[in-house]
Amino acid sequence: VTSVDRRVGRLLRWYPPAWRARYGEEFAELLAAQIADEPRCARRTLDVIRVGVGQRWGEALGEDPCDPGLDRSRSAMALVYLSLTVFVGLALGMWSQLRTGVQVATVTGRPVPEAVGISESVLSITALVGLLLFLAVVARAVVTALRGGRAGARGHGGPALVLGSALGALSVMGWSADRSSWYTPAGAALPGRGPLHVGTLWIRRAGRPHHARVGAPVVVLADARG
Amino acid sequence: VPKPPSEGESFDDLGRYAGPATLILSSLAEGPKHGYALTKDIEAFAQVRLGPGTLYGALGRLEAQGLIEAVKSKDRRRPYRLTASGAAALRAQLAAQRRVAEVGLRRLSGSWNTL
Repeated sequence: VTSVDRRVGRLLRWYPPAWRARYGEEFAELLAAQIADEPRCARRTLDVIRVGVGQRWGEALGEDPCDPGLDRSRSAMALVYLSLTVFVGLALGMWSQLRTGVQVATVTGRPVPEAVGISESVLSITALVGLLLFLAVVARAVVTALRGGRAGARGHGGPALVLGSALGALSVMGWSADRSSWYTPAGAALPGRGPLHVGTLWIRRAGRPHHARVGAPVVVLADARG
Repeated sequence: VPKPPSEGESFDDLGRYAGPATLILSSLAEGPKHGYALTKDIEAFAQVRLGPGTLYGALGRLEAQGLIEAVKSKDRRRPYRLTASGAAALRAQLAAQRRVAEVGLRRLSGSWNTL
């Protein structure tokens, strides 16, 4: 096995197995010939990787190569839902941590305005996203019913992914806050090492000795864990 | 500019591969070619160097749409050839491009010739 074969093999691994089964052999021949012509070419490598990632993405979405128009709309929707999933997951994780640990300063007895602001903003935006998703699902069901069709599970995968991510973030991060020493009735120093260590750094640097207090939201989270 | 004939709509479905598809079909109009020969021919007549990923992404789409087909070969480098519907689609696409080019050149000669 030559170094060219190894390079070709590495590049081919960017493509899904089904694609390699159909085009792999001839594609490898083309790559080997082009590498022989021009051993180092970053543009070629990037092109191979870009299209390979696109092929894997298409396979994951179940793309139909005969209907690229449908592919584009599916890809766009998948990107929207994945972005929403990441946002909602992080937002609710941050919200749960702020809510349970950082927003109350026992020294002054008053909420820390910055923490409350972040917490409430994140919660409001997340609630808006949830409402829009809910309306989208309801609208789709109504339109399907009006057209005389039967509303199936198809098309609900995106909203389900986002909402599942939201519930997961609430559960996991709420559990994390509950089990850690981030809040104690005695007021442990905050925050400790955790997923939001970096995210809450600026609050700690404000110079005030923020301490935690067990509050109503913690009880809600604990109840939710049930 | 008049609407292109319906055969040209095949190219609309090719999305981001419409540009490479025109080049590939134009190259195959001369006769069957494998991937490496396609890249060399396209580079020679259009001064465009298609990346291997782009080339095979477009070949896959064109084959799925029935505009080209693979030729049986014992060689690992499988050649492709134009189908009848591929030839019709290419003819319509090139005619549409020619109309755009003619209008653009005519307007350039009318308004910008004196500069």
